[in-house]
Amino acid sequence: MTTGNLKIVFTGPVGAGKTTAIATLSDDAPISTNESATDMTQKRKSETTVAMDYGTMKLDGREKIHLYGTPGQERFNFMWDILTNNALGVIILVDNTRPDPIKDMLFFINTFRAIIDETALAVGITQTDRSVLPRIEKYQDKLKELHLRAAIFEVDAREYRDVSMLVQSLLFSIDPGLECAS
Amino acid sequence: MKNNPLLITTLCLDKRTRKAFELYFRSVCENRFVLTADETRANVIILDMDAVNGHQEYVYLRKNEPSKPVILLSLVHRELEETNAFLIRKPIDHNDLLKILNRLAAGIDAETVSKVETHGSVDSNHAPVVSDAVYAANCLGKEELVHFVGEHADIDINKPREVLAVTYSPEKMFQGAVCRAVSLATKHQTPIEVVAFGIGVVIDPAKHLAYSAVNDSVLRPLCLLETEDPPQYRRLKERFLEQDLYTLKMKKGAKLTAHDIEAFIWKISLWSSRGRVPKNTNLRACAGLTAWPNLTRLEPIPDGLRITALMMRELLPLVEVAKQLNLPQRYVFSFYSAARALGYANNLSSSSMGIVKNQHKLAAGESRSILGKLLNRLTKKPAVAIPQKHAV
Repeated sequence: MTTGNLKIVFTGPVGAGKTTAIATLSDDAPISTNESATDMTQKRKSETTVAMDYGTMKLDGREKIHLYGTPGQERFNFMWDILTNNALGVIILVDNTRPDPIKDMLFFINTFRAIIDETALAVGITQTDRSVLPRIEKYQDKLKELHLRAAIFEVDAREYRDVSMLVQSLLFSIDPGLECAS
Repeated sequence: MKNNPLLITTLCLDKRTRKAFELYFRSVCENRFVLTADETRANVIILDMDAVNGHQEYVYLRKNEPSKPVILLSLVHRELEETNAFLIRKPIDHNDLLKILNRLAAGIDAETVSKVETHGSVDSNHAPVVSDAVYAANCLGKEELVHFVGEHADIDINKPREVLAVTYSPEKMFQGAVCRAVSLATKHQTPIEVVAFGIGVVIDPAKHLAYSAVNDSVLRPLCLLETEDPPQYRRLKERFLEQDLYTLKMKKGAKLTAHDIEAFIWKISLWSSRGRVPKNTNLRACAGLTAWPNLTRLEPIPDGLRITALMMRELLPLVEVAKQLNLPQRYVFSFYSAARALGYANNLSSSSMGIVKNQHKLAAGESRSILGKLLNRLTKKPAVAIPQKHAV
């Protein structure tokens, strides 16, 4: 892991909350490359990310962690490989109101499996207040089938505590003994 | 009324019980009391509250015939507001029943008849029982952390006495009663009411909610009590659930709170555990997790994320988990007890769990330093606990 350009990648389907999650964590106003949605996306949101979202978390000393959000639509998937280079780990956000959010999760796990196997994964399920089903146990069962021991939490992408815990679980998956730097 | 028999009608009693009453009134009571099928003519009603529609019938009676004395038969204690309602606990002591019927037959003013709960004998000087819950509620005042993880020091697992001191018996406690109720509700896909330590909780598997009319200040100390008395479970009908919830609320005269079932079990398990493990836990054997608990929606405990991450990474005895993470054992024990109550944890060998041991290298050197700084950054903003309650 090259420490100079560490990044965390947020991915997931359209409307899952990637842009919001990055905005929640980022110290500066995140850069968001949005466009008006045209296709099916339009039914879910008026704007959509077309290249990526970018934010930063400033650390003590002059280091920073880069936060990248991938565009959710498949036609931008050429960006995904580029964005995952030198990633600390991958955070998949899925929207529980979508018709088949577990299938969404599986799609992104398969897409990013190589980098996940090298680094770490955490999954956040958003919009569970609007749709309680499928319940988290269904997601957990799927991860077990794939032999993935990743954290999976219900999150509100607007809430700092939720997104922070998701990223922390990523870090502790890499090293449970990690402690706050003094 | 002296020469006229007291007319009694029964509601929600099965045929056999009704026949037994008939025989009893005819022979022992020498026809001083007579069963009638005509509810309007009856002077007294005997109602089985444990029947499926028992409560609904009672509500109907109070609404339509508020002045008619009612004798309620039930397995459990019930608070009665009305002065002309009497409770006889099952199994029925016929002397208790006789005393009440004789009073009614003598035409005692319904307003002056005391509410009587019989559990052996009717005693007008019977002192009200102070429930364990109320007593325990008066013994409060420690910090939230201590409520979850206790204060005891680390133990030596080679010393049986020390090991015994950090074990508890959830099956004898409120935790066990609630977990069993959840299990029954899930199995039968029907709401279940459980009454333990005088406290009722309704489990609704369809909505994944647990309803309670007592607040945390009562529940928390209650979770430390043990009893040999078995809890009472009652299946509720979905269509009467609203009424049963209303009754639950009215019994305590308090607001009804709905909790997510997982969050509720997690919390009462932590309160019950207080840094201990269930009695049959083998502290020498490895313990593992089958999945990450949904920690963003559960009461936080110290280092919960780190404990989870290590236990998901490899199988270790609990004391070893504490040692590797440099944590007090009671943090790990509490976490394990709560995770186990939710079905995420157990003492298992690696072969039976089918674990793929995490092969990722641990961070080292410069990487560790920057990750530590990132952790610093993430934990800087104070976390606000997310309540999981909805007032009903």
